[in-house]
Amino acid sequence: MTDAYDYSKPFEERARVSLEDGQMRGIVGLAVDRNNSGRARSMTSLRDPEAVRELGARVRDFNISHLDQHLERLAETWTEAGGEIFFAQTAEEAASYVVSVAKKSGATKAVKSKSMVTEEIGLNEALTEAGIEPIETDLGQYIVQLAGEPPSHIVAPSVHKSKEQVTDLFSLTGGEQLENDADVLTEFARNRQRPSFLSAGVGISGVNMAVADEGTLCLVTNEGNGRLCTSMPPVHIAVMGMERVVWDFDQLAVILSLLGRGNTGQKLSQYTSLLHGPKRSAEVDGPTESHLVIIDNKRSNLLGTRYQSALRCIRCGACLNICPVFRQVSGYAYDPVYSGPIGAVITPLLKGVENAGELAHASTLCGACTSVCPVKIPLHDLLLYIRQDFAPHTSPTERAAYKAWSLAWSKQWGFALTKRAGLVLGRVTGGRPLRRLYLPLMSRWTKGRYFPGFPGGKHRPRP
Amino acid sequence: MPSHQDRSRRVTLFPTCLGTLLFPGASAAAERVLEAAGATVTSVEEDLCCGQPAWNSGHVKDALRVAERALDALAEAEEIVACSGSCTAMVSHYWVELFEGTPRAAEAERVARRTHEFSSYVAGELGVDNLGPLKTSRPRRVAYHDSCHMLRGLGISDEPRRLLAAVEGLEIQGLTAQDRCCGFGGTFSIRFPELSSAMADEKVDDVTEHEAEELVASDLGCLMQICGRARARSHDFSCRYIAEVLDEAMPQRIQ
Amino acid sequence: MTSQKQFLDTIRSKLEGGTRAPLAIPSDWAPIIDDPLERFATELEAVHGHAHRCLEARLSSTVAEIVTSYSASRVLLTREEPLPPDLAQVIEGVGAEVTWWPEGGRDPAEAADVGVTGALWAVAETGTVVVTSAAPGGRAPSLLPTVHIAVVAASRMVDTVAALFKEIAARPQRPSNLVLVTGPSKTGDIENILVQGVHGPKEQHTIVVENL
Repeated sequence: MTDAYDYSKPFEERARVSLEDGQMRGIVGLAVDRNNSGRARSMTSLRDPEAVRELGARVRDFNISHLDQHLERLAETWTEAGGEIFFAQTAEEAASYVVSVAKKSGATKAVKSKSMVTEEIGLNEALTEAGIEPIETDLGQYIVQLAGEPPSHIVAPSVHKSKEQVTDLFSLTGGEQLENDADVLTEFARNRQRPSFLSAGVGISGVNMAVADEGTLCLVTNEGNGRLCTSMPPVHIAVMGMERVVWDFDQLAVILSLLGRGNTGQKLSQYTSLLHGPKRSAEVDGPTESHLVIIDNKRSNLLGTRYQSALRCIRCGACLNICPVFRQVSGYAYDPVYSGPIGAVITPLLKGVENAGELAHASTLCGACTSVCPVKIPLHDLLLYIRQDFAPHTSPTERAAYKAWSLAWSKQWGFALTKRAGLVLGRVTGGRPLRRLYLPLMSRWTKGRYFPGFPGGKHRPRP
Repeated sequence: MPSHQDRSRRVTLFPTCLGTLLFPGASAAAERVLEAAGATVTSVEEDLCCGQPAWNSGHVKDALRVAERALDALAEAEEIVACSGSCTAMVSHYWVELFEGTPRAAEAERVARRTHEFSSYVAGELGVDNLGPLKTSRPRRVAYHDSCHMLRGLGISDEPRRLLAAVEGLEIQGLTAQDRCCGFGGTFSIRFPELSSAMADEKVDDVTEHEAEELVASDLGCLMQICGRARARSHDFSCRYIAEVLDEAMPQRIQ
Repeated sequence: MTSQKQFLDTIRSKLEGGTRAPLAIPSDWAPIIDDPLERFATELEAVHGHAHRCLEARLSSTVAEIVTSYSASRVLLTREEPLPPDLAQVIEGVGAEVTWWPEGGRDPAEAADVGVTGALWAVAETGTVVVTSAAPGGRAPSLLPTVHIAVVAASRMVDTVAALFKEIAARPQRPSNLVLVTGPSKTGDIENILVQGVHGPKEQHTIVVENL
């Protein structure tokens, strides 16, 4: 399915692929609506939701503005807890460290709890190349893995898939026709994956938030796969984007209270796991080795710039769930890793504005994202800044058009000319609303809409 | 003209480029309503644009070139009322950023502070009661669409509703996805016409599902978008800029 | 290969620097909880868990009733507080086989229909119980069995998530894994349909012992 999405082509073409899939749009629309209203409802259970958002923003800013010190402390406390630490400047360094740890352990299988940063660094491909089978265990991530697709939403990877599609996928995988029922399908996944949890040599997870002063990694899931991945295999590797840090447990409490609510409207997810190194000698079970890989991969490019606030992101998905564009085109139209408003901001910053800056135009700057972000990232302002940085890389035609327009309209006679042209066209067309406009650029308006008509004719234009 | 009303509010009307080019009736109605509510309205000689089309596309120099002429014309105005939520947001919110670092930054900031959106000015500054008894000759069910810049950018949602509620004969109908963007987004509507139309579809369906006969908004761009799409799908609800609704409902004045 | 120093230097060079004043979190941001025991039950039920309350004397029989309700045949117990000394006997009395964590390692936990553990705290705001990996507990007993029963003393109930983390921070012992368990495992990944019971336990019960 994702073969239809060509990332070398303009956004408009990928959007068209999504727009033509009415079933997917319906499913995605329902899903994001439910999560969005859940978010709105659950925020009211906080005494002063706006104050908590503000607090969340300050917590995140505090940690980012002292990131070097906090990461240094994290390295100390994680090592004190018996964990191993690796700082990876690039995606390649990170992936090859994970692969080398997995290989050294002799593992042939790695069970994975969903982690967007591992998508970002192409970890599954690297593991597969090294002869280690990555097994996605988050149900949504498992579904897209079987389908050979990337996740289409940072929190709900399979949001674009219908129940029927999942039934077909699982029936094919299991070799027998399953009932088209969500409970049956989930039971299938549980039974199918159980042996992997219990036999895999390596468990790989992300990190929702690291607590620097406590040497603790906080991992949040609803399904229990995160706990299994970090408890059953003898070796655990946690991979985190370097900005995902808070200083202490008080700050973690604030972020967790925002994360669950922003995500799906829960006060807390089903499982909030606090990991403090490998198992203690007196403990019976747990991994004997626990590694933490901290990744930069161009995040440091945001520091000290007007984009720094984008690093506050706690990956809750609230902006995706409210975005009027996302609900129409869903994740693949943007990028295989990060989509929606936050994706449109960070993808150009991580991949280069000249490469992906167009994504920032996939927005009406309506500001809904900014209004719901639990840590108050000014997303619609950041999108505008990306557009500014991308402007020199837009097509020569676009730049020339804006220049001509601005030169004309910087003078009254230029504007008057435009008015005159309108009046002439109005007389010619009788001022009627027009279904088709055969004028450059304006013709794109009439792809799907009436043009209200030019003034100057008998008919007075109304919107 | 003898009047018990206080005519000391001097307002410069900013019709916006859409108003000037396509919907002169909208700004003419706005002028009449402002006068009726007690303002003395002057128009600027020149036709102005706030620079938003280029600003929103990231072409800052181009935006500045155009906005400077608007700044020239508005620099001395006491108060400015714009016939658009998005143009008001551009001037009152973004001009400071646009003109930052230029010799005209302080001037731009002054104009920004003096610029108001039409409905918030009439209801908030002048008072809807000043308009006298409002009664429409076409009783109908209307839905109001909040434009994004006005709702989230300026925080204005109350005033237009107060104005509409004051009109006898109007039944105000709420929409399901009241806050959702209509998909206009200025040049977005031309960059991604299919996506933009798909977004408009949700608004059109919302209006027709609630059987509203008319859609009212404070942004001409949104009206053009939703109604342009509605027409293409053969729906016939009418669309009006808010000033036109009030204008039609005002007691007739002898000129 | 980048060293830690190079990595952190890159960051440091881009930040403003200056003195770092600790961030003060206001003490009143968390919700006010009127009746913690009541609220705990409401919240846990709302996430499809099951809340029970009993006195210490009735604790074993309460556990046994839950075991019976599932017609469970294999029950795994830990030796954690506040599980009572007669628990195994009472469970065997209703016809289920009892295994003890950590005897036999992981396999009995995987085979168990029900796992009974202690808990360090309960949180009224969210219906959460906190389980620990520290001996005599472990990770598997609350994770592998199909049904998890957590037993927690009422005196260990805290009002909010904020209050919980103050307790966690103040407690000197640091096990390798604390888990805040809020109801049974769930997913909405298939067309946003809520399904209960994914990889973690399918059912979660918490018994709050009122006089402990």
